[in-house]
Amino acid sequence: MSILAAVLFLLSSGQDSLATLLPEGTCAGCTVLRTERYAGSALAGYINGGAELYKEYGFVSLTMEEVRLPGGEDLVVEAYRMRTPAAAYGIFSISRSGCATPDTAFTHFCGGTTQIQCAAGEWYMRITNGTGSPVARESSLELLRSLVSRTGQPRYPLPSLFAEPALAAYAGELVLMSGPLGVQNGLPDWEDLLDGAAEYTLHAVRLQGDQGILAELRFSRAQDAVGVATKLGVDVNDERLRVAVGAPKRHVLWTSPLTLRILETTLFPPDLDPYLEVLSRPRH
Amino acid sequence: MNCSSDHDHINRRDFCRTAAAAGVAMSLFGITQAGQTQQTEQPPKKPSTNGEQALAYPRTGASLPGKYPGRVAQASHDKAIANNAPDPAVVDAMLTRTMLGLTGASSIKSAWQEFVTPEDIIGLKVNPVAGKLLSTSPEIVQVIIGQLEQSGIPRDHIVIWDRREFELGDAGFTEERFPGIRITGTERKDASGSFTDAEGKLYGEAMIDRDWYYWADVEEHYDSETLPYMINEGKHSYFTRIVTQDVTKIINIPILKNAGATVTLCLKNLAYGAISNTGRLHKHLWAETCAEVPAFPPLRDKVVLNIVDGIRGCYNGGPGANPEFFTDYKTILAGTDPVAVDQIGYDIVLKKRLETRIQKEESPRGRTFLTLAEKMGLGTADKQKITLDHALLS
Repeated sequence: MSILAAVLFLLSSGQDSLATLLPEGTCAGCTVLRTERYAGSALAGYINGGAELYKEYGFVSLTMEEVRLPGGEDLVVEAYRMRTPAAAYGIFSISRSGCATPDTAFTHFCGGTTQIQCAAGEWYMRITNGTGSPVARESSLELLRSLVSRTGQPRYPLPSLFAEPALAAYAGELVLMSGPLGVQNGLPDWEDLLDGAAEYTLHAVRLQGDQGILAELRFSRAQDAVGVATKLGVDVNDERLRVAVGAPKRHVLWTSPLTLRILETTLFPPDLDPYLEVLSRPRH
Repeated sequence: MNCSSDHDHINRRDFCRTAAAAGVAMSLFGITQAGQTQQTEQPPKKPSTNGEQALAYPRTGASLPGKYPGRVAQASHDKAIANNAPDPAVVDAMLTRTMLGLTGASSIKSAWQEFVTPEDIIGLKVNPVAGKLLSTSPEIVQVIIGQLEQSGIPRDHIVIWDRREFELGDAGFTEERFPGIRITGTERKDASGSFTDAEGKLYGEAMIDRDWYYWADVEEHYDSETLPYMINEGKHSYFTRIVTQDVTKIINIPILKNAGATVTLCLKNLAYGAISNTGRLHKHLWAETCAEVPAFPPLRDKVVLNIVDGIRGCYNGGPGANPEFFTDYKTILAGTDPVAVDQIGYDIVLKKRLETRIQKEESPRGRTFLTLAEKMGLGTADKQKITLDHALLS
């Protein structure tokens, strides 16, 4: 996206609420050491090849500030404006790991020792500190809360399949991918399955204890749906629960012409049954 | 399921119509619905490159894979990190062990003298892309410089370089920390932060050598904010003068980290660090670029050693810095053969990814760049042919 397009996008949506990350009155005693802004493909100037992943999800702009706390510790605050809430959630979902503080009802949040991050509406935000000290962590949290409140944007709603009570334990582990780089980072074992598909949204969780993967795959183009169905050896027009050909073992169900649910698992009945039941629930 | 019921945001009739149209198109390419015929889908054709031209340049005695093809030395130490940073004394012992293990030399001085002489201008190619949290550590570079000096190399014959001069400072490669060492990059700003001179010309343009280029049949238009990081558009990526003119030898010092299901180590650090206009290459030609650019003489005939900083690296979230995926590998790899070193590094990262369930199994694409690099004559990708000398220090 060109800078002009990014600017027009920001103006049209009227939500460029984070152009300055630390406005007057925020973070008393803090000093902003550096502010950098990147829009569109210029993100490569900030993270070089890593920018491709953000571009694939739908990157609009980034504001980055290096902040020195009153005690002398430094924080790096990054606010990525993405094209949609799904894009923001997607980049968040593949960037988190080992969240000591889990997801909350208000925002998708992951708190670690040296980094906290969240997805709030169209924003993916993270704050990184170099030490993991209690002061750095508490200051990071306070700052992130302030940023989230300024976005005023709602939490990205998870697909109904993953809102099932049986999958509640996985809410903080759901990954969302929409292209090959996302899959390389979020679910690399499925690179081959999705190779060649161009437009899709894949939500997936890994089941506990290496028991498999539960996923919902929504295609935008019929030919991509047919392509994946072909690889699985199932008929896209068959709306019954089926077992795909080959290994690993995959139970598949088309819930709409462009929506495929997949349960890849090593489980057998009766352990398998609850997951098959979830898989078969109608979409709502 | 049949083609008369309506669901979702596309109804089944529309879907069948679309799928039928797609089927017509796809059948032209031999693709049909599962269970009806065999799939004959062909992968999309890769854009062509001038990689083959690199093979036409006569090899020299100094060409990669260098003095020790297929040989990798590794040293690991539990106490490699102290106070959240590499411990210079321990790192020095680790580096000494890898240099002696690689060369079989009886002293560290004679080990280094196998690769460099006091007459050489030695470029230390570091990787500062991910900032101070996940870049080649200044500590290991200081240790390398210390050993070079002990081996008779004057400080003013040592250059620390990367594509982006300004990122070097961010990662800790500053004049204060490295007095007497030239620190330079291809993409650069002036003191006011501008990428252009009074005539509006990018400073980076003076840094590229248009006599040496990697050509690929893919291009991308860059806006005015992106261009300073790429220097030029079009189908050519020019080598930096740092490698074509400034230095006579290169010591390559990447950091141990992943990029998706593969790694960015020796080959990536050389390839993407030495040329302009890289933005167009990531998406379609990542593996080819990693394998082909180092096969051109400015790199192939000047890189004498690869030392992987594996003290602290990452196993996911790379090539950027995502602290949640950092890990203290506490290891150093060294070798003249960048393909063999990358293969060993790849195995280390893959093992960690499998342990942490990032992947269940190796990606079939993970090693593509290694296989391509072997075909370019840069080294050994076959694990059976690689000799690993791994020392566990304490």
